[in-house]
Amino acid sequence: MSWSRYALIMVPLVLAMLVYRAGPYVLLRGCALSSRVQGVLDVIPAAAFAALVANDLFGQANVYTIGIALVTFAVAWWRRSMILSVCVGTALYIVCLALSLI
Amino acid sequence: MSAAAGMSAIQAALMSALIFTGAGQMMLNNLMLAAATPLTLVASVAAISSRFALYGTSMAHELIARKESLAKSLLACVTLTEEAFGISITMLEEDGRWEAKETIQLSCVLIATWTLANFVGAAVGERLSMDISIAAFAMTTLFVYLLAAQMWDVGHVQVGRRAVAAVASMVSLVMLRLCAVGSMSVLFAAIIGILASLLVDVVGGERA
Repeated sequence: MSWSRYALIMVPLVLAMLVYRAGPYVLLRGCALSSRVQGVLDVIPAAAFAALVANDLFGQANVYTIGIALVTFAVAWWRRSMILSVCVGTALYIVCLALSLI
Repeated sequence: MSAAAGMSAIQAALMSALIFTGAGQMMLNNLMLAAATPLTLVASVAAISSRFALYGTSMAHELIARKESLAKSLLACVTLTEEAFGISITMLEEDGRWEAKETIQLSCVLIATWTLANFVGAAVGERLSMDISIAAFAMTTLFVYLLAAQMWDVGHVQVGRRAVAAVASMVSLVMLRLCAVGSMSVLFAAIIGILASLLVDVVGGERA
């Protein structure tokens, strides 16, 4: 690909990504937010992570992948350890893959 | 895929270092393979990446509340990746020692790894064959952990709000995917989840 075509695509994309990532900070800085707006901001991570999990599972959803996700959630809730949760979930996935369950 | 789409290894690595969005880069390569026009490429990737505005908003809220400096806050925001956002927002809420500096360091490591991996992938091309499903599922388990982390050490009202947002987001994601909405489903589902939580909050407030 020529560098001129590459720049034609990349420059607007880099600008768009800068606006997405830093725009909210510039807009919110110095603003006094109402409790309702703070409540909305508070739920963004939960809504985003839930959508990402559901999106990841959607294409390969069966009783095993959903079961592994639930076990991972339970381990995360119980032990509060990121490493342990990821290791347990991934190990179960590998076992199911080896047994041709997924 | 970048190599197949006509990019050199340096161009693929530069793309990863400049825009660092997995889904967006996959879409960019796919559209290039389909010989899409530059306008279509930019519009499509900008649309699918718009979920970063949500992450940026949430991160901005935390950084402003912690009175982090302008330079550090902006750097933490512009280097934000999906994974860095997930870990950072959890640590900012849970760990009093986690600051914008840690978020920037984490993001830089992730971007450097991503850029290097893409450079190697584009350079080696189709000679390298590997099953990425296990690594992909490891990312899913990370998001499951981060979702669980949103529910602990906060008050009942906050847990209720977040649980409503999460459940509504998951249900709407499945419905959107079933309706073949495609790559914008994550953003739309998250917004529906947020609106559902807001609606429950408003109705609950009126009743009280």
